[in-house]
Amino acid sequence: MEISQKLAISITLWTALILALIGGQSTELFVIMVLIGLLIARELSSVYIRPSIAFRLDAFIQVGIVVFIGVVMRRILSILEIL
Amino acid sequence: MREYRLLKPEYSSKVLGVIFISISIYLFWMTDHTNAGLAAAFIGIFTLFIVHYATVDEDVAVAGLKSGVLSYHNILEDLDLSNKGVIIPPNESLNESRAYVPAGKLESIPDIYDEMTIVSSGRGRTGIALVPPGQPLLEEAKDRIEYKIEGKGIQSGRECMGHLSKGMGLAKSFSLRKKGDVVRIRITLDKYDDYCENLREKSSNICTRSGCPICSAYITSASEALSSPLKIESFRKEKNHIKYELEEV
Repeated sequence: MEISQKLAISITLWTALILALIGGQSTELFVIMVLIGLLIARELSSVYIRPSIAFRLDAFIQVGIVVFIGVVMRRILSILEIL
Repeated sequence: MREYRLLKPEYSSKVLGVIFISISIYLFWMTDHTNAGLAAAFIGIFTLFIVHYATVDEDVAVAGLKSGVLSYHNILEDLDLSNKGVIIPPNESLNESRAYVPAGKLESIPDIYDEMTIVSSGRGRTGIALVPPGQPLLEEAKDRIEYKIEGKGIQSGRECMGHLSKGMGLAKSFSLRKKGDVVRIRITLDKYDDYCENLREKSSNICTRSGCPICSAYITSASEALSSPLKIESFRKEKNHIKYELEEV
């Protein structure tokens, strides 16, 4: 089995696990947990993956980090009672 | 047995990705399950973009590895260059590594430049300097490391060899040790063991001149990481273990 297939299966299982644990409770927590899964997958697979797949995985992580910054900003604004 | 195109991973992943994205659209628009919709959308996009499959068969890749190196060593055989090779790392006059095979006993390493193939610098300093057969494999491994390994020491050599072994699947395991001027490399082959045996049957001096593309990639990475020319002193093969003893010159 190709490493990219293993990556796709492990991320799918991780997402399903997080969905099962969090359910419909908190979208912010769900997004952050998925991002953590992506970061772990990137770190553990760094030796095995080709540069092209590493580049694609990095793109997903960058999008995740932008979403994470959005979540943090939203939380700060809600604490400051601006939002 | 007929292999259906849609069952190949590169196509089935696209189908699965589209199914997950369709499910996510349904969940977003028709239900209140936002997290489930997000999960389905994420899995769908991830599967679409990440699953990638190599299109070259393993047999074809092995044949490709063999074809180049056999002609390389047949030329050296015809030139009667059967001495032990020296792997020279890049330096001020050399942009990429060279495998130097001396015509006689190695007295000292001559000055070698990029454009130089036939080296003639006087007595005991004549031979041929070629790009090591494993250079393209090594370049592929180096692309996966975030820093340049040249002169960074034995640990960076080990990291590069890790990419050659685990990342590219060239060997099952390896070890790189240095004691004084002696550098020892042990490579445990897995699926390329037959390739190694087959190649050695066709060209007996291949291993001590520069090595086949796989061994050459390991030796060249050690030479570049240590930033020191390494002379092949001895080669042994026991079962699927390859043992090289190299000496810094």
